[in-house]
Amino acid sequence: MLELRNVSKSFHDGESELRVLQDIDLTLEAGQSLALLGASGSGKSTLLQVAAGLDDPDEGEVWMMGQLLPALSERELALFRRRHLGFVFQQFNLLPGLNVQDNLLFQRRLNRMPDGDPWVDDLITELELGDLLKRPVEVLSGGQQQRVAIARALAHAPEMVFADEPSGNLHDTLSRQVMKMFSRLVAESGSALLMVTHNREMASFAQRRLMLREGHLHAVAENPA
Amino acid sequence: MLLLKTLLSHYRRHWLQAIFLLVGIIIANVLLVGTLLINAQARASYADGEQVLSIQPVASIVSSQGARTIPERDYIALRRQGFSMLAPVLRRFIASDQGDILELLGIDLLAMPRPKPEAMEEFPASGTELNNRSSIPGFASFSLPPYSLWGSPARLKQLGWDEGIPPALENGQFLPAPVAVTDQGLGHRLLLDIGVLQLLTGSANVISEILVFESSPAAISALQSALPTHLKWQETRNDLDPAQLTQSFHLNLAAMGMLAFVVGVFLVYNALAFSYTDRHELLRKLRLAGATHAELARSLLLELLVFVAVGTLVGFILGSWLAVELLPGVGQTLAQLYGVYIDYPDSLLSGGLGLPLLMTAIAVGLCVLFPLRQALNMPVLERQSSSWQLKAAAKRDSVLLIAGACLLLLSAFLAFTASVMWLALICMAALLLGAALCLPAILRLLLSVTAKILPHSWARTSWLLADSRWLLGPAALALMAITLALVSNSGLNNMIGSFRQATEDWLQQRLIAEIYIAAEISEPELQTWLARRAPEISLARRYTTRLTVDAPKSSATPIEVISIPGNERFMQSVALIQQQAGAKNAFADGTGVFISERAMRLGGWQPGYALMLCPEVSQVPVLGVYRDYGNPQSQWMLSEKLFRTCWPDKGAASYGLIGPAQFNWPDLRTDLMHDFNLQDNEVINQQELMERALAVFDRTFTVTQALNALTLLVACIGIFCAISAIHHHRVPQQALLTALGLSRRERATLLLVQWGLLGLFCIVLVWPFGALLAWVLAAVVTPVAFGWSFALQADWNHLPMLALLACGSLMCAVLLPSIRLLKASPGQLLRERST
Repeated sequence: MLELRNVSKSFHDGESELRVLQDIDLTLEAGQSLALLGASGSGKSTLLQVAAGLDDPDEGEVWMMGQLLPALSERELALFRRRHLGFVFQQFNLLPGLNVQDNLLFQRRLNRMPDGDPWVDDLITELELGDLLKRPVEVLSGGQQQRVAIARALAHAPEMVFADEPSGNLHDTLSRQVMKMFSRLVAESGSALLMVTHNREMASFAQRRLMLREGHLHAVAENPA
Repeated sequence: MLLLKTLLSHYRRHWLQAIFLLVGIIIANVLLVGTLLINAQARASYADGEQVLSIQPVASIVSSQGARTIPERDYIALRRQGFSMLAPVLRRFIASDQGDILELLGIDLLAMPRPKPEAMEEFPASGTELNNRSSIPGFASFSLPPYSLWGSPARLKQLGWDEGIPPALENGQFLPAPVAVTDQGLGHRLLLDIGVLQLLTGSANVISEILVFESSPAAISALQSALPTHLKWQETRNDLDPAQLTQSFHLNLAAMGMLAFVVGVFLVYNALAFSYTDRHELLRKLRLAGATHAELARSLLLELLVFVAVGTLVGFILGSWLAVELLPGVGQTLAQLYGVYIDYPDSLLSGGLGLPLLMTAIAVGLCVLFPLRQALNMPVLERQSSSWQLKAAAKRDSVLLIAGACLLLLSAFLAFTASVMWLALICMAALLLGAALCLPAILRLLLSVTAKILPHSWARTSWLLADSRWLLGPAALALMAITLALVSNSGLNNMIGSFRQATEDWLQQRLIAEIYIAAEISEPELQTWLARRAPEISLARRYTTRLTVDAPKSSATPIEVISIPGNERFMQSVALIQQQAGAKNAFADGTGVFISERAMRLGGWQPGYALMLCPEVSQVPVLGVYRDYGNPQSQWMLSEKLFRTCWPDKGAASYGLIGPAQFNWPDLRTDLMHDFNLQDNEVINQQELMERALAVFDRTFTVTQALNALTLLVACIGIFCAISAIHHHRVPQQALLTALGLSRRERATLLLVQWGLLGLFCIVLVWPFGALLAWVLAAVVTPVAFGWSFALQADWNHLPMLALLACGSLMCAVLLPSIRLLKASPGQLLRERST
């Protein structure tokens, strides 16, 4: 599903160069979930963005579903993301001005998929969004907004889901609740999941965990499937 | 100070917002100051009166028979009688080879009083002996071959002439080499030796008038007594007050300056709103840290004061420069339209900074009220802030809608009741502002309706419409400014088109002679010549005189009295807009008069009123009212018979030659000019006269159209500012859209479609309000200001172009600030939104 080979990425800060990723190798099979741990500023989000084709590596290759992502044109990448990937971010997940339903179905509609679908109904039920569908997203609480973002990320049945600190803005109890729903739904959908987090407890919801430290990946532990 | 420093640190990161705020204040002031200074300079010139070499004559001696010239021997005879305070002047109009109409003043420098000592330094230097008149600096070059032509530097620059190079005339002759002369009150006029001008124009032994300069009361009295009967004493320009004559023109100029001020203030509001919106987070944190409302308000207002002071000063300097640059053009228009002159100063006009500073401070103070209140009152809890902002924007739009509706009602009331110029202008301003204030609510409604109509499954469209509704919060005022500019454009286009058509139709009806002769010419000789050369051509005379009478609405009203032959052909050329029964027959019989529309509207006379013409004809009724476009004075029209009853000694002021259309008129004109030694501009054919009249018309509105274009440009700058200022509000949305799979091309297309759609929605308002503005201009402002009315002809051909202009302007204005957003990679956008 996803393979990173010798991926490196640097940022230039004035005169100095900051090597954020160094010779990263990573593999993720279909249906698997992987949590990337690391301290704040360790490059976790950068690794996620490179893996998702949102940024180009300076060196190395990123393969997803048999496609070499850096070789795709900007338009091809956009179409690829639209069809095959789902995203959940820590904040700014939703499009203001649209209601819950329109946000939830946004990526699905971009793919010209019909609104009515048993999978979508399941998502709405599981994430307890039924009463919120016509509400504008600006009036939702943080937890409600994250649930809508999760529903949107999964509604078009992507092969791969990327989540960057999906519960970072939520308090502990709510985080656990949201992560439980999230990981169960990802498993049900058959999507692979790459999640970045600084929270070990949240990372425990994934099958595998890796630590990013000083630009390199280190094994943490593997949970049985 | 710590608070102020913290708040100001915002501009270190977002320096563009500071620039836009300053630019808005500067733009608001440039045209305002420019027009204020031009009007002030004109008023000062009118108060000083017409001068020659900075010396104002106390009176002039002219023909008592209405002739344009008097024999030079009359001047010589008076000088020989010992009246040394006299100087001859010849005034002539000649076209240059570039088509510019030049007003040439021929003087005898020897006869002129000595210039003031301080003025002598400004003359071209030659001699140094002040006691010897012949060594007045510049005398030799002016009065002796090869002669020189004196003009103000601004006028020479306007004509594109270089000093020392003789300019060519339309007739192939050359004027003496021009010399720039400063501070001599020349205005648009050009000064040269009277003998040279007489030679150039074939005016040997004639002069236009004799100027009388200050002298003792006894000498003045003696001079008045010594005047022969064919000459008369004329006080300096007291029959026509230039200030009163040009009041409407200057009021329009001031209105244009105010319009530009309002547009600039729109920019300022935009910049302020964004600056405060961007600092919501900072203000929230400062309040959480313990800063009070009063402390924050004080710091923000102090910051604003600095911007106002700097911006106004820069705007004042630029406005002064603009006034100096525009003054020659204004002077030319005033000379052509009203026959008045204004001086062109060659340095920055010294107007006061106080008024622009006060106006800017008040305007900016009003602008800041709403954003400041919003910024200080928003919830300190972050989660509530975005929904609160949306609600605040919607509430603001409702308030603006109510205010707009009230202004429109006021405009409607004034449209039917305004009887003076300032009320008419308020009517127009209320209409424009009312339309602009209603815009955000109307746009919100149109967007909501469109969102309801279109399927929700269209994801891009749903987002586009939702985002457009959000944009109404920050961009509403910029859209209002552009709508204002478009409404003005549409209304003016319609009005000017209708007015031009009405003027052209009126000219075609009135100008029935094929050739007009406006020169001193012996009528018997002309009759004899015509009988021999072209017996089928008939000669029509036009007599004219001036009166000052008390009108029903005003006292001491100057009236131009003209005559037309009472035959049927001429009667048909006068279309009456109001008339009594049998008006034309009674007019032809000389038992009544017609009055111009201006005389009716501004003077107050009506059909049926009795007028006092002259002692021989005490009371004559007003029989009808006719249109008289372009004439800044009220006019009475008499039959030739009636005119000659009152003023039998007056000679004809001009002649018209009438005959069959297929006659060889060009050859006749050539022969006439040759045989009577007439200049090009003294023998005009009908077509040329019409072209000249329409050229003056077009020129009058050039300034208006230029200012309109400037307003549109300023509005587009406002959009540019608005989009730039909300850049980091758009980053999170663009980051999300790109992550969800929208390509760069799709995002760019959505952006252009969004603003194109907003432009089209603005046009929805432009069409009805442009029509209303055209109607107000045609039916309210023009009649009240000038006493002219005309039928408005609906012309919507310009609307598609205007729609294209609106959409194109908006798209261009948003494209540049959006390029960075579109070019950034998804990763860059995601990183930027996190900072």
